[in-house]
Amino acid sequence: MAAADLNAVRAVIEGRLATELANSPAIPVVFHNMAYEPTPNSSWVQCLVSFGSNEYLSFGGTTASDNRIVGLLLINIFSAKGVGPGANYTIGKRVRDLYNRVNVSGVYFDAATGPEVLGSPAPEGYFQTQVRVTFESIEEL
Amino acid sequence: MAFYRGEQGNVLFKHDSGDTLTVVTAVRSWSLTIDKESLEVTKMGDTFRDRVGGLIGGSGSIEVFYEKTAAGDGKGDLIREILTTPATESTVAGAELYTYDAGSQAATSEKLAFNLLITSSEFSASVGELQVVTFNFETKGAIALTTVS
Repeated sequence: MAAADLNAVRAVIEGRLATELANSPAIPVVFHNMAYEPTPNSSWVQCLVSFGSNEYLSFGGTTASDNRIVGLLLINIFSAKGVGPGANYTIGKRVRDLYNRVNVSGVYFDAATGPEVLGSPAPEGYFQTQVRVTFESIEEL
Repeated sequence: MAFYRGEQGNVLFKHDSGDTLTVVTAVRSWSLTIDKESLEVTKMGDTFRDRVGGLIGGSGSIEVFYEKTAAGDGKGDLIREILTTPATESTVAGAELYTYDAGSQAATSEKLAFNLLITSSEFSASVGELQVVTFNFETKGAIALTTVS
C-alpha cells in the first residue's frame, strides 16, 4: 500500500463530470484555477474539489495503517436568467446522478445535497444552483 | 518519561498455541481490564478491615474494521474464532496487545501477552460508516506485561 494520491482522487471526481457533460447536450465545465469567460445567457458548470480534515482510522505508524480522507465536491450550475429553473435543474439532475451515493475507484460519495438555488449568483447575470457532495477515500499506508 | 498515542498500539493474534502470532490489520481499538479478587482477612480484634488479593483474570475487547480475510492470517483467524465449535476448543488462542512503538514489535515495545477465549463477536454495519467487528474476550491463564526482548 502507499500514500494516497490526492491528485488521482481529484482526477476521478472531475473526470466523471467532464465525461458526462461532454455528452449531448454538451455543457462547458470549468475546474479550480482555470480561466473561463462564459457566454452570456448560456449554461455552464463550475466544479470545485476540496480536501478537508482527515482522520486516523486504524493503529499503526507510517506503514500498515489507514486514514480516512474526506472532501467536498461543490458544483455550481449556471443557466440563463429570467427563463425559469427548468434548464438549470435538468443539468442538476445529470450532475447529481453522477455522484449520489456512488462508489467509484475507491471514492465513496455521500448522498448529494441540492441543486440548491443561490440568491446571489456569482458571477452575476445567471440563475445559479449548487450541488454539494461530501466524499471520502480510505488511505491504506 | 514518554507518553503514547493510541495509534501506536497494535494487536497480534493466533488461533492455537502451535501457530505463530500474526498482526491483525486495521485495528481501531483494543482494551483489556485486569481484575483481581479481593479476599477479606479481617480478624476479630482488628480495627481496620484487611484484605489479600485473590485470583487474577482479565477481559477486554478488540475492534477492527471489517475486510474480507482468509483463515490463517491474524485477522482472518480472529474473525473466525467465535465460530470454533466446542469440539475443537482444545485449541488455545493467544493474543498480544502492544501498547506502543507503532506496533512494530521492536525491542523497545511493551506488550500484554495472554491466552484468551473469544466470548462474543459483534459484526455491525451502519449507513455511511465503515463496517466494524468488535470482539469481546476473556483471558485464560497468566497475563504478562513485558518488554519485547
